[in-house]
Amino acid sequence: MAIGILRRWAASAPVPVFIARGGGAGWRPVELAADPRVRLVPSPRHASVLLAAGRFPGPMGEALDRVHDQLPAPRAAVWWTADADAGRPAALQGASVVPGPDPVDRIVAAHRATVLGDAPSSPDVGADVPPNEFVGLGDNGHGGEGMMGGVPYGRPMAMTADDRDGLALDRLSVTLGPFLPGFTNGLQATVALQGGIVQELSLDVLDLGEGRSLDDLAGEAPTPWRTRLRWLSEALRVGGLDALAVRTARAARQGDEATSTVALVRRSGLLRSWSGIGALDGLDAASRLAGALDPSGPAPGGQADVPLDRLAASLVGSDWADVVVAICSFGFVAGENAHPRAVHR
Amino acid sequence: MSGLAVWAAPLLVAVLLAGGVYAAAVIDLATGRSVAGTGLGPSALLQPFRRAALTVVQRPSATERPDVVMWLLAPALYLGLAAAGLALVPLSPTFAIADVQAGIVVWGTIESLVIVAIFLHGWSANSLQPLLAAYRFLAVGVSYLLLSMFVLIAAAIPAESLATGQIVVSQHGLWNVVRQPLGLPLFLIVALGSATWGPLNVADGTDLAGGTTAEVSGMPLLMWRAARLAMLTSFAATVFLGGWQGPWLPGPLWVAVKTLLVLVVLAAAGHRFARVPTERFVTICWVVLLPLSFVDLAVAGVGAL
Repeated sequence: MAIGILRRWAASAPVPVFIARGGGAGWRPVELAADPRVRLVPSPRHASVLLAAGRFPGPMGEALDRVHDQLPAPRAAVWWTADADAGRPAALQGASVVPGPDPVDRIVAAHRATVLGDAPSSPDVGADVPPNEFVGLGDNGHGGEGMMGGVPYGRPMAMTADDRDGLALDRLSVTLGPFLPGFTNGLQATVALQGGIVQELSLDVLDLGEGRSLDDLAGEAPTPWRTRLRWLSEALRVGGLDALAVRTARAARQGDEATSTVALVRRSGLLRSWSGIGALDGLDAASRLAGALDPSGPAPGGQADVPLDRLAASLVGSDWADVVVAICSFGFVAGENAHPRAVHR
Repeated sequence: MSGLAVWAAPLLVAVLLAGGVYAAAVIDLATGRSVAGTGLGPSALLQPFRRAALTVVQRPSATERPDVVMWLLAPALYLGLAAAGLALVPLSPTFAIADVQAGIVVWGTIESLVIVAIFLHGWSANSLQPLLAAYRFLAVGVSYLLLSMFVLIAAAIPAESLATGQIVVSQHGLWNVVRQPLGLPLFLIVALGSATWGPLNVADGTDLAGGTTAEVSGMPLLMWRAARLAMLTSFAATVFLGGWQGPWLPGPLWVAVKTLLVLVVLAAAGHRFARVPTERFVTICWVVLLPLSFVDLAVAGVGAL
């Protein structure tokens, strides 16, 4: 009885959704924040529905599988795509497919069905085991000093190393992305960190495949301003302004000029917070954001074609959180051109 | 000031805690919707319960080799510290749940242990993003903690006592918010930091995929969220806004009204101001805010002569 009431209450809550943006999704899924029936969350652990938006070929599909298994049960997966006949990752085998302009009805239905027990929770697709066997010393074993270093189970383990402050902090190598908040579609970072400081960084874009975009699916050709507002909504979430992000998503969906929203963003201190971060060729994250806030302004000149390796090199020595902000700031484009190159298809 | 029967104290703390968390959740929702430009219907009053129910039915997450004990202990510690803070609040001239002679010292201890709880929460998950969040919170926490020490000492000077009850009594006729105008803004900064909220939400930010909560779901996540809201509530109106003092209404009601006002200010700040980068906050804290807290202390000292 009590459990039934609890489940009914749970089913009627706004649905926490983790969005994985794939090929052809652009920033369109960010507009879903405008719908009060859903709530976009920063971690798959907080979600009850995984929304896979777009195409997920090859490594993108493998990454999606890993994210899927991180959602807590009961969970559901919804695939919003124009290319359902293309390769379907394991995580989406049992997913509802939405071949239309708005997936929210299906998201809410899937959420309610799984929470109320009317549909099974989406099962794990990966085995809960280490990626490799432990082999003592060697490629998948210890290799450092004492209990540190090496690659036990094939995963690099932290090892002390020299750093800028002379503290000899642990150095840890990890791969982050491609579904991190603020990251452009398919972007993956391979990073060596000491504390929160980036010592090495390489950025790659996973294959996003070819096909129709979600905007094509909706039969819409978004204006440059609408694309900016979509990006701005994501940037505001990264900046800790979730309510303003919702306001901006509503403006994007309604095609507003969003004058009052832009004024609120200017007064929020986000421009000050982002100043000095991700500086490249005299422009920093704040100046890129300022450019995006001007409806009539062009995209910041001179950075429309920044290669990823140059961007990565400019971010070495930064705090990881600043790297996220910097990468996010480069996601601003006036149209659908890649910025940085090839990451916004 | 009288105390409370031993058996009744935990019960009353639990009631205050639940009420405070609910009020903070609704106020946060209302201020958020105000900024978002979406309507606030009656359903908003039920929203916290619905969200809580959903979190409860979700299965707690597991990471590879976490420090399980610490991972479970951190939310409990955080919530317990918020409860202890609430217990120190004098609700009327004759009543506080925990009428401690060195209440301000206890409060300072709570703030210090909050830093431990938040750090443990990030560290014990054995995962990168929570750990990074824990590290950057530590830098922020150690910085704002110094502000709190000076601000609280300044508030204790006119009362000539470390007891929270005496600090409220000393504000008869002139609240500390007027007598020490720098104190309340500085104290609210400490509140934002202790609840890791809004501009000082460095521990649970979206830029780190949820920070210390990036690997948490189910009941532990609910406890953590409740603890953050409770921590906001526990920064009540005692030290600067005259506590239970005020005309017409009974003391406990004044405490509630003032607490709600403080919550509105903190929630609005959370929705209107962007997260401050860690290094910049630390610099501002040591170069600007800490000297201001010295000035606050000096003003209090001169006023007491």
